[in-house]
Amino acid sequence: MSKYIIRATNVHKHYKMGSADLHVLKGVDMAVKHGEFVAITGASGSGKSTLLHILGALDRPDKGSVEFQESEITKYSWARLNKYRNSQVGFVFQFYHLLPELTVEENIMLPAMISSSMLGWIKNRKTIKARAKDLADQLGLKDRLAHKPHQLSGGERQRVAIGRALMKSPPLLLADEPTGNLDSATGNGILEILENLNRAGQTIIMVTHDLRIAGRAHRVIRLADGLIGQGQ
Amino acid sequence: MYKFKLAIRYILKRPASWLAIAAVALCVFMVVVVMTVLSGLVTDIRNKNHSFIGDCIVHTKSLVGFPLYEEFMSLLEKDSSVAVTSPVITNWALISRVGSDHNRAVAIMGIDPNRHCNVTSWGDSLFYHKGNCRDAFKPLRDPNRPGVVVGIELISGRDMFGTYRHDPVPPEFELAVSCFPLTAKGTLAKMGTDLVNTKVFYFSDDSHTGLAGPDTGNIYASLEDVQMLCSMNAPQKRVSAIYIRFKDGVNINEATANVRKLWNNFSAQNAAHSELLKNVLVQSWKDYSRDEIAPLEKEQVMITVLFCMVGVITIFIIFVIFSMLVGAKTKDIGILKSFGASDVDIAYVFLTVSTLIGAIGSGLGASAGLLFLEYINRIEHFFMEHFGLALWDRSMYSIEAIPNQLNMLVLSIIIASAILACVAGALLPAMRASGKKPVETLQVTQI
Repeated sequence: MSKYIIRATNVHKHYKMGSADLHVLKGVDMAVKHGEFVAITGASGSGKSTLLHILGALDRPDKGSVEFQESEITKYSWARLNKYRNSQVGFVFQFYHLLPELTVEENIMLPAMISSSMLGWIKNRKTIKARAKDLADQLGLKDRLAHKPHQLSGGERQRVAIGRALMKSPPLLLADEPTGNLDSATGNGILEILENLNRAGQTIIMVTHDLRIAGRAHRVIRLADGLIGQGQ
Repeated sequence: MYKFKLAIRYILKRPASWLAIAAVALCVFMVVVVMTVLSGLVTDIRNKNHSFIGDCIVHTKSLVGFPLYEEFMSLLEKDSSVAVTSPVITNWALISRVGSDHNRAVAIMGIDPNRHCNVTSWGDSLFYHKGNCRDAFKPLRDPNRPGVVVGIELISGRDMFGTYRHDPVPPEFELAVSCFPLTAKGTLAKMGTDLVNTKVFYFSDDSHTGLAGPDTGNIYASLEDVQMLCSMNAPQKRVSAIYIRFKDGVNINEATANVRKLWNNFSAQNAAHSELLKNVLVQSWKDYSRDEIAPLEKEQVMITVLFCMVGVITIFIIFVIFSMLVGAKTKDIGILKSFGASDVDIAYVFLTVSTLIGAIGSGLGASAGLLFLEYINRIEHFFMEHFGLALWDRSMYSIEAIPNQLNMLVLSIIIASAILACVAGALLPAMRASGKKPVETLQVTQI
């Protein structure tokens, strides 16, 4: 097994903002080991979310490469990228991004439902539902399974989002400002969940602008002006 | 699985989806009702013409007629495709009630009821002689007198519901019928001592064929009488037409072509006997009644084209609604893609929504249409009775009831077209949705 779960090498990313060309990432090199809890910090506009999206294959770099378990995802086909997003990484977003039409249980099951064919779903639905209930139990959502997202508090919504991200037991969890939309106490609860998951062996990369929150991680990567800060 | 589940939830939770269903249902309802009524009218007119003419007709447009018809009928009846034939004279006449100065021009048909009722359904159009067609020209009060059958509109009017009133016993009156006898060369035959061109007939029955022309301006008498009145009984007996019914299961077009071939041979062999054989046409009932059916069929085509435009409008409505839906669900698209949904999966969700909208909308529209058609005549009667509102003037048109017999093929085509229109309308927004990048759709403003 490779030492690094994910490694980015010389990653560049440009954005067009009107007539201006914004060079957001200017050759980022970083690597994360199995079981690490890494925080990426930086000022607003430093490119930390862009880097997270590239690591999670939500976006492609203009230059450079990203290797996941020694396989270069920047060369993946669209179909393989879909599989990567479905089962190798799990996303937790700042604004939860739950599907409002689905219940808590269905939101948690979403990655498994996406990867199942109709027949596969019929065959495995009991196992999938049991896994979703188990996750909901662990996240304190046992009594909320039939609820819709709008019936939940912010903290509960984020816990549902974590459950969804863990549904297929991905090796890597990517969290983009997971506490950014929560009050301090609730945010603390979410961080505790992430810490517990990490203690159980889950690799986590978390983006945050808050240095105190970043301090809860094993390692902090600071992004400044599109580059990783020296000595990191 | 999630695609179907999401599609159902989008329909249930989005008011725009219900609007789309309502739009589709309304369009389908309208198309089902109008197409059923219109195609019913066309079918009705076609069937009535077919019933009145038989399968095929050998006829001349000349008032002089053509001779040797009995020989040709014998030849025809030996043919394997022909079941029965009937000689017919069609001419003009003046009629007046005896004792009245008033007269009017009508078309007179001379027929042999024994033969004619086997070829056509004319016998069914009679009121007092229904089921007893062979005695059609025997007045019930005095069967020994020469009888005449008159088109129903000539003796009876209709009430607001289109119903003709009949007395239990036939009215008693005499009609003087005058024809215009022509020589074989087409000139007016000179009056001579042996030439009769006026005869008094007794009312025997009325005929209600459901065809405006015959019902408003035809009278019917025996072939011999009309032949005599039109001077078509000498020196050679002549008729205007031979009506033919083919045997069951025979292809009418092929059999008509066969009759045409037989006639061509027959007229070539007998050309020396009469020039009149050259003016004879052989046509199927459809070709013969084209003048009556074609305008309605053209109207049907025109309405179908107009409804295709309704289909285009439906596509546009669905397009607008789906553009709104895709706009509202942009974030969902990003979420689904973040967890591995492919472009095809995303398109599938929206196309499933559109297919379901099409299926539910057309199901509701078709059901409402069927229900409305079931009661359309009662509804019209209600409006006629209480408000005097009629869909059409029964005194002018020979249609008693609004046709409401649904053609299952037409219904299937309408439903399939509605679903296809929905899919077509949603195709572009669905493709646009599927092409969205997850990062853009999640509205990540933070770099």
